Amino acid sequence: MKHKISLFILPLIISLSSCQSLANAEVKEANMALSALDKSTILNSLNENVNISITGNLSKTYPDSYSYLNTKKAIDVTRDYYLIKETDGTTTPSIRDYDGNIYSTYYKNKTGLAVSEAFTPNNTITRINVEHLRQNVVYNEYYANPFTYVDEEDISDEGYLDPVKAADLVSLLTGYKRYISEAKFTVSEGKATKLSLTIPDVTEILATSSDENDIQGEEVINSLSLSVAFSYDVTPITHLSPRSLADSVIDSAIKNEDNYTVSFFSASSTSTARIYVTEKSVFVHNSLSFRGPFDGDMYYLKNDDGTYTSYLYSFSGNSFNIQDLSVRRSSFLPNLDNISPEVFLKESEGVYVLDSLAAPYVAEKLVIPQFDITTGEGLKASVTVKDNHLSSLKATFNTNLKYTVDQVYSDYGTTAMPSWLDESFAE
Amino acid sequence: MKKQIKHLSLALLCLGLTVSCSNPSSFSSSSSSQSESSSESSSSQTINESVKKIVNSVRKTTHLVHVYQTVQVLKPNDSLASDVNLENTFDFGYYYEGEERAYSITSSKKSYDTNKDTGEVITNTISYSSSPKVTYHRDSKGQSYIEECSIGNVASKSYMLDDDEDGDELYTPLIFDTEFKNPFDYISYRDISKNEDGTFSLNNDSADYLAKCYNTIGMNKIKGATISVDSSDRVSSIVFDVPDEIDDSYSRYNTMTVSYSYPEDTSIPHVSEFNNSNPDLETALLALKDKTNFTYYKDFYDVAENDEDKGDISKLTLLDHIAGYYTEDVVYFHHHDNPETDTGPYVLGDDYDYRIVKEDSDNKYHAYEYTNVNGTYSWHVVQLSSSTPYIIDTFTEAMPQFYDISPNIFKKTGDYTYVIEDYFLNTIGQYFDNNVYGADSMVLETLTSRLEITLNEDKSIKLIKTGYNYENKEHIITFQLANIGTTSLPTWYE
Repeated sequence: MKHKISLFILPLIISLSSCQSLANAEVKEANMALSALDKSTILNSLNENVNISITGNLSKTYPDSYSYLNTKKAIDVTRDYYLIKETDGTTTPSIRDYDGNIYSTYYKNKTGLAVSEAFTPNNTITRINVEHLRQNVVYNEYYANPFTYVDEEDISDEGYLDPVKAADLVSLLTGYKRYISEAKFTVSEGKATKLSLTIPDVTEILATSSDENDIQGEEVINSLSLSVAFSYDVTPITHLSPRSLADSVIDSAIKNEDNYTVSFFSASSTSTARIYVTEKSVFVHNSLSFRGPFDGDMYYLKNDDGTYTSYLYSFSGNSFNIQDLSVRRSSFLPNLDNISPEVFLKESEGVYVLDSLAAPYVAEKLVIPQFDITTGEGLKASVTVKDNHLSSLKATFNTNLKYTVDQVYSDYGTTAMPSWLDESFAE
Repeated sequence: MKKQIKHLSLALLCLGLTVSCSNPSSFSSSSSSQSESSSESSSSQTINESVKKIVNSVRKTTHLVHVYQTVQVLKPNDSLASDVNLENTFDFGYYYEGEERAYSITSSKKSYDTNKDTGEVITNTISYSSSPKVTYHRDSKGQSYIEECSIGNVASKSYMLDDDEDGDELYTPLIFDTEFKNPFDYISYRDISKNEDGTFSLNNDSADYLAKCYNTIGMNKIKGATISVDSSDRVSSIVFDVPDEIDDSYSRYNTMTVSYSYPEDTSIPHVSEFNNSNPDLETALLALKDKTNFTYYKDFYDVAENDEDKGDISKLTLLDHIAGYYTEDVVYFHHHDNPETDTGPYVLGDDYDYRIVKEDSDNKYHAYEYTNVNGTYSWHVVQLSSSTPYIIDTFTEAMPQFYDISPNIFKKTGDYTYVIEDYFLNTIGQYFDNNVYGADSMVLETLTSRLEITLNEDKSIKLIKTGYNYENKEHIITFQLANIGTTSLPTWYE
C-alpha cells in the first residue's frame, strides 16, 4: 500500500507563536549588526527542531473585462522539522505537516526515501513509501529543512538572507516559485523569529492565441504576499510504537462470532446485503427487503473440516447451485480474530475509532469481503460495541470518490436462517 | 526591441531541472553510508576553511561545467535483448556579473550497439547535438529570458513562461532563481570533508543531487564523489563513485566525470545584432531573389581520411553530384549528373531522381520520385502519408531560402570568402539546401558544422561549402549556382 502526497498544500492552522516576540524583535531589527557567531547561532536553531509557518495571500487581478475572474486566496502552511535521536546514535530527519486537525508525519529512511509509518492489523509498525506520480519520493526533494543549505555567508550583517535561498524556502513549503527581491530576518534572543519577504508582482498571461512559441493575451497581475514565522517549541516527532489496549470492552468485541446477523449498506453505491451467520451455515442475501432468494445470493454450508461448500442462487435458474466445495470463511466474512483490538482508540462509551495510522491497512479488513473496496485506501473507521459484541461499523475509503460503508450487527445468539429460505438444496 | 513572449516546452528543463534538481539535498543524515551521525548538527562540527574556499569557488562565481557520463547496460543471458551503450556530454555555464545572472546549456548524446560476444561496436551509432547554445538570463524582476538573433540579423528578447502553479489557464513567468539553480548553493560545507591526499569527498546525498542537476540519466546509486582542486583552491574536477549494479538479468556500469573551468572573461554572453559590413556578399545572397530559372548543384563528399584534409574538397572524394534544374514549371533533381553521357533519370543504387511539377488542376507543385516498382522504373507520386500527397504551394517555397539571410552575420575571411558567425552554426546549412523533402539533407537543420561562401570576382556566388558532424566526422556538402535565366531541362527529360 502506498501513500500519495499532494503538491497543493491546503489551508492550515495559523501558528500563534509568531506574534509573541514581535515587540522584542523590533528593537533588535533597528540595530541589527550580526556577528559571525550570531549567524551561526541563528542557523543552528533553524537546523534543529523548528516549526516554519508561512501565511499570506495570493491575489490575481484580471483586466476589467475579465474582472469576474479575480481571485484572492489565503495561504497558510505550517510544517514541523524534527531530528529524531535513534537509540543507535544516528539521527532521523522527520517532518509533520498540518491539515486542520489532521497531521501527516514523514521520515527519511536509510536509503533517503520519504516514508510514513502505519499500524498493521496485528498492531505492529510498518513503513510505507511515500509516492508522487507513482515514483518513490526522495525525502530531501520535498521535506529537507530549507536551512540545511544556508551557510553563514548567506546572511548579511544586517540580517538579510540571500533571496535565492528564500525563494527556495517558499517553493519547498508552498509550491510557489517566485522571485524574492529581499528577505530579512527578525531576530529575538539569538533566534530568528520571522523572515519578511518582498515578492514583486508578476504579470501572467491569459492566452488568447494558441501559438506556444509566441503567447499573446491579456495581462493578469499575480500578487503574492507571504510572511514566514519560526518557533522552536516543536512537539517531538516520534516513531510509532505498538498501541496498548483501550479497554476490555473493545477486546471482547473484536473477535469472530458464530451466530449473528449483519446488514451492509453503502452510502455511495446501491449495494446492500444482509448476512445470516449461524453455527451451521451462512447465508448472504443481497437485499434488505425482498423476502425470497435474490439473484447472486450465496449460501455457505459448513463442512466437517471447517471450510464451506458454497451455493449460488440465480433468478434465471430459480435455484441454488453448487459453486465451490471448499471455501474459507474469511473469503466471505471479515476475520476479526486477525485484528488486534489495540489498534482501536476509545472515543466515548461503547464507541471506538481505528487509529488513523491503522486505517490504511486495517479498515478494509473490517468490511465484508464481497464488497470489493480494495482499490481504495482506508481513511477512517469506527465501531460501536454493545453487550461485548460489535454493534455497528462505519468505514470510509478513498477510491476515486470517497466511499463509505456501514455494517449493522444484530441478533447475536438468536440468528436463524430466514423462514422463506428452503435449505433442502444443501441436504 | 521586440518583446516576444515564449512558452518553453519544458521537455529539457523538466528532465534536468524542474523535476530532478528541484530541491536541495544536503541533509547529512543517518541514511548516508558514510558514518556521519555525529555531523547532524552544524554546531558539532567546525567548518574546514579549505572546504569553504573550494565551495565558494563555484558559488556566485562564473564557471563552466563539462559533464561526461557513460551508461552501459549488458544483458548477457538474453541473446535477443540489446545491450545499451550511451555517452552523454553536457556543457553548462553558470554566469555571475554584478547583479546579473545567466545559465547556459548544450548537450550531445551518442548511443551504439555492440556485439554481445566480442564487445565490438556494430551498428546504429546515433549522435545528437542540441541546437545552438541557449543562454537564459535573469532580468531585474527575477524573470527568465533568452536572447536570439535571426538570420535576418534582428535581435530579440523572449521571455520564458511556465504553466501557472495553481493550474489556472494562465502562463506565468519562469523564475530564474528557482529554475536555473547553481547546485552548489544547495550543497553545504558540512557535506564535504577533506581527505588526506588533498582531495575532498562529497557525501552521498549531495553527490546524488549534483548528478541530477547535471541532467544525468540511467545512473546506478551514487556513492559519493571525489573533488579535486587546482592550485588556486578551485574545484577542478569531480569524479563520481558509481558502483556497478549486477544481477541475474543485467549488469549496469556507469562512469561520470565533471570538469570545471573558470573563464578569464567572466562577462555574461549576450546576443546582439552583428555589424559586419559585407556589401559584396549582400548582392550575392540576393542572387536568387525573384528568380525562377537557375541550376543549383549539390555535391556530397566522403569523409576526409586525414584530419588535416577536413574541409579541403580538393582532397576529398566526390560521392554524388546532383543537379537541381529549377524552371518555372518544373524543378528536377537529377542524381550523378553528367550531361555528356546521361540519357535518362538515374536508375542505379539507392538514390533516385525527384521532381516537382506545377499542375494545372490547382496551380501547385506536385512531387514525384523515379523509383522501381515491380521491376519497372517510372515516376511515382510522393506521399507524405497514405492519404496526403506531397504538394508545394509556390515556386518560392521550393527554392533555397538564403535570400533572407543578412550579409552582416558573416565574417569576411579573405578577399572573396565569408564564414558564418559561430552563433548560427548547427542550423544555418538548411537555408542553402534544396527546400524540398527528399532533395534536402535534414542533418543540416541541427548539425551544420560549417558554412563558407566563396564569391567570384564579379561578386556572384562561386561556391557554398557546408557540412555536418556525424559520428565525430565531418561530412562536406557543397552547392554551386549556374545558368541563372538560361536553365533548361535535360534533352531526354519527359
